[in-house]
Amino acid sequence: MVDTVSEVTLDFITPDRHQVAWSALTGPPAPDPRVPGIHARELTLRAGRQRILQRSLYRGPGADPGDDERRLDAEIAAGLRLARRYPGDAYPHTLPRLIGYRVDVERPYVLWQPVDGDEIHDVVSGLDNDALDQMLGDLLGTLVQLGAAGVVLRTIGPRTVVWTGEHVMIRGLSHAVLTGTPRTPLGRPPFASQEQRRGTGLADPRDDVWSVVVLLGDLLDPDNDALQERLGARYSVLLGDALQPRAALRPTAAELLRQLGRRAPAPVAHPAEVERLATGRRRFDEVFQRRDQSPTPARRAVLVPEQRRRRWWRARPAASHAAPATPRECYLCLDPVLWAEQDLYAWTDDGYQPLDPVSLGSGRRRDDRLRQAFRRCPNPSGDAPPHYLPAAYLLGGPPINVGLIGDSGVGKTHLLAGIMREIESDVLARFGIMTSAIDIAWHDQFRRTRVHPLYEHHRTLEYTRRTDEVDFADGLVLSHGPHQRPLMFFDIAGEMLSPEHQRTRATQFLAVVDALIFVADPARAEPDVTFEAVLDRLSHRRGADGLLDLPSVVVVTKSDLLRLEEPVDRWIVRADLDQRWADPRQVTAESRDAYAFLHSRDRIPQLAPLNRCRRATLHFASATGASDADGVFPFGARPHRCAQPLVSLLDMLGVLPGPPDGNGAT
Amino acid sequence: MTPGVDDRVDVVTFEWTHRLEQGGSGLGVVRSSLPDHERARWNDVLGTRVSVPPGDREASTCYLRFRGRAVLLHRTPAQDLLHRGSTRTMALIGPPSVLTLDRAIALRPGTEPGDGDGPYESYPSGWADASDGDETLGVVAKEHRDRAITLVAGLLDTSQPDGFAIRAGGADPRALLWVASRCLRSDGWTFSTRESLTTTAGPPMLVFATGPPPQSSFGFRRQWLDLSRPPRMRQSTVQEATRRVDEVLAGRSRTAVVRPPRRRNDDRAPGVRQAVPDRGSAAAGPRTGLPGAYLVRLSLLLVWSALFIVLLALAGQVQP
Repeated sequence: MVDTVSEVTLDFITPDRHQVAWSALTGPPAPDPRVPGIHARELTLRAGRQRILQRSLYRGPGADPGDDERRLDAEIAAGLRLARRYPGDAYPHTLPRLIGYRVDVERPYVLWQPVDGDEIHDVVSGLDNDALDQMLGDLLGTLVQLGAAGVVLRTIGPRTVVWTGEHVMIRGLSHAVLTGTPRTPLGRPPFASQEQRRGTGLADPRDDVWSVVVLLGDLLDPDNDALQERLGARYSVLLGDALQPRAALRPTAAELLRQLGRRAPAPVAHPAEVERLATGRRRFDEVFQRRDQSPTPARRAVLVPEQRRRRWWRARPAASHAAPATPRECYLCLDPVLWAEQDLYAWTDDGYQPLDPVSLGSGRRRDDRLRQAFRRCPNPSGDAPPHYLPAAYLLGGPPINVGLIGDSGVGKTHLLAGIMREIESDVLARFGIMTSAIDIAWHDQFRRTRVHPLYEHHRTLEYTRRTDEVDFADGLVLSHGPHQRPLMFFDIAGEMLSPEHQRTRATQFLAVVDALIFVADPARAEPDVTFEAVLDRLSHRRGADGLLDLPSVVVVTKSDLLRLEEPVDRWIVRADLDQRWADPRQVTAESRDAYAFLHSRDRIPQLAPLNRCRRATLHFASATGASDADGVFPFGARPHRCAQPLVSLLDMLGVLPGPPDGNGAT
Repeated sequence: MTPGVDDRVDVVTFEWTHRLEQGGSGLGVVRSSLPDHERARWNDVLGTRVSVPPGDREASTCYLRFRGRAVLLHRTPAQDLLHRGSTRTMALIGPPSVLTLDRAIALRPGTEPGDGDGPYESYPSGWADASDGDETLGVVAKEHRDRAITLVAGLLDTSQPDGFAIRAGGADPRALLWVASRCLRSDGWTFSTRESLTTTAGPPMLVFATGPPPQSSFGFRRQWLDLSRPPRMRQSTVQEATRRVDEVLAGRSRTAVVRPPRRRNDDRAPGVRQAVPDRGSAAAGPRTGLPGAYLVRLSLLLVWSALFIVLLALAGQVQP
């Protein structure tokens, strides 16, 4: 074996968020046998000769980062949680300490303090009673500290626990996850619980309780009378409820310690940032207490198509393309538009050309023609140039106009591209909603200029230009059974939403919006006044309780940049859309965390939608999942949680069909 | 000497910035020699004109007129601070007597004008250095004689109040403008050498399209001139255009007096427009100027005249 030693410079971020550069000597990296995509090597610092362990992601150029990157992220997030929850001497002596990390490089890595010692399995027989007591207390005490930080190790077993000569230590956090993360199958019997092995439910600190108790049972072999005598009654206590198949029925590590008559580690004072988050969560709850309202937004009943009074002598209209009797508001001029089949147009290379009503024909021919037809807005007020609305906007159920709000550069267009990408991948079909384009050519234009450049060519999208006249960005028809509703998205240059531009015609569409997506950029230093400016403009739509009846979501976008920060780390990696009906409280939990996150960073104006709208949720999302390098995403761009805000909006609008029977949401 | 209010030429740079002077982020004025009270107004006036078309990688120039002032824009694609495709635009704002159409046409899109602080008393040398002379433009124009004829014929043939969208088909728009401005009366002309949003009306009057018209909720309100197709116009118009273009290219003529395209919006506040029917609405609306309508009116006149005569005759027969 060729053992080459080389010098490297480590340029990394510490848990205190400082950037430091260290020079170190190292040998070649070797794959971690437990995580093939992660390579590990030991380094020796030039200064002080201190040893550190580097675990880095190994991936070929252009390779999909996939699970290994997520696993490394989870490992770093867990290490950061512990380092920030237990700063300095308060850090548990039984856990390895995270020294630093770097994720915005080709090979992301994490640096750990190495763990020395003998595997506990090899030395347990030589331990005296005091040492066994020490081991028991260390392991359960560690679980208490991990639980307080919201970390689940998932890998406690005879090969991952070592004895240093004075106490036990956990070898690493390579498979650690945060509490509440959906479980993935991991581990083997007997050390992993059945729930964990199957990957069902959410990760729970009591998953580790199972592992510790089984480990103790394995170490203190029940057939070994001497050991059993040494532990006595306490051992049987441990084997009681701690091995319940469901984590929810097991005692916590703190309860076990109490049963054993031992004191759990004293809780440490929360660092300032954790305290700020706690304050934000309390504020979130206070908002709803004041209103005497549940923080989980009530779902509206699914809307049936517009009620029409049908004269007895008139035949029932065909289910498809039922023309609404009530006029719709034009999103371009705000005048009422009534469906008129005698005044239809088609888009051609020479612009809009009138369609002969006779040429529409009937049956499928008529359906096909209407699919591509436009109705000229009569614009009786005469204050706008001639304009045309897609027929699909005027047919079917009442339209849903959704505006994206936020200053220039916060990521509105990227988020919309992410939403459309998620819709393309059929996320709404899980809720029984099928989608089709309002206007096929228009939708294709959005795909070619927004979705494909970002997700196929991996390039940042262009700045959205200011224009004199604003069109919808993209539109879909949502279908659930015979019901159809148009869904229109409006995405304009952020400058046009600033208070001094609110009077222009380009922002008139705000008068007809049915829902709003507020985009909050957490990395932005400058204040964003567009949220309040838009809410002020719509204040005439407030109800008797003073709240706007306008379903709104606040999306903390670019969350990938903060994916290792609490509480973003808890949400951004989750794919929990399927859990929506099973546990609607998750939406509230995410909203509470997002509110606390923005509150802790003094982004008070970004919280205005929750404070001023009757129904609002907050979400973490990332349209790209990674940072760009000079306008290019070297490892591709993927939407993360971009569907959640849309699903929440549709739920608040009463568009989502109800949960399937037996799926407890009320 | 500091130039006076009316004859000074100011230079303004537009870029995307995290912190606009009036608050918020966006593409706006980052450097300017304008007086403080003028800065916000021009930022607002030019805000929708300072970007290169979406997806475009080519620099362009644009010449505008607002309230007695002329504006010359030099727009270059650039990456903004967030690594997004955006624009860096330098603008000269001054009297039309200094920022003339000829100077605007001569400015090369591909050369960024020399940076200076301003304000200037006259046309800045950095911009003059980035311009082509008549000889250069004349040589290029000769290569595109047919297209120049089609353009001039198109401009002669119609007076389009909402302006023209022109498909130049690979020809240099500046060379075509150079010829056209010498063939026709060009007072008040405004232009842009590259645009994609060609459906909207208003300034600039002559817009060179980067591609086919993108779909929009608003119909075309500009007249399309496709220079790569033979003109479908009266033969006499084409002959007249050919004569004028050839005279210019031969160096025999500067400007002929012809019916100028109707000017509009020059002195109107930006954003204030009149509703104008597009082709679609014209097709659906009353065709008052057409021969059919004329015949109907003539018939009605005859009917009324006959009725009047009958009534007169009857009145003459009834004696008190």
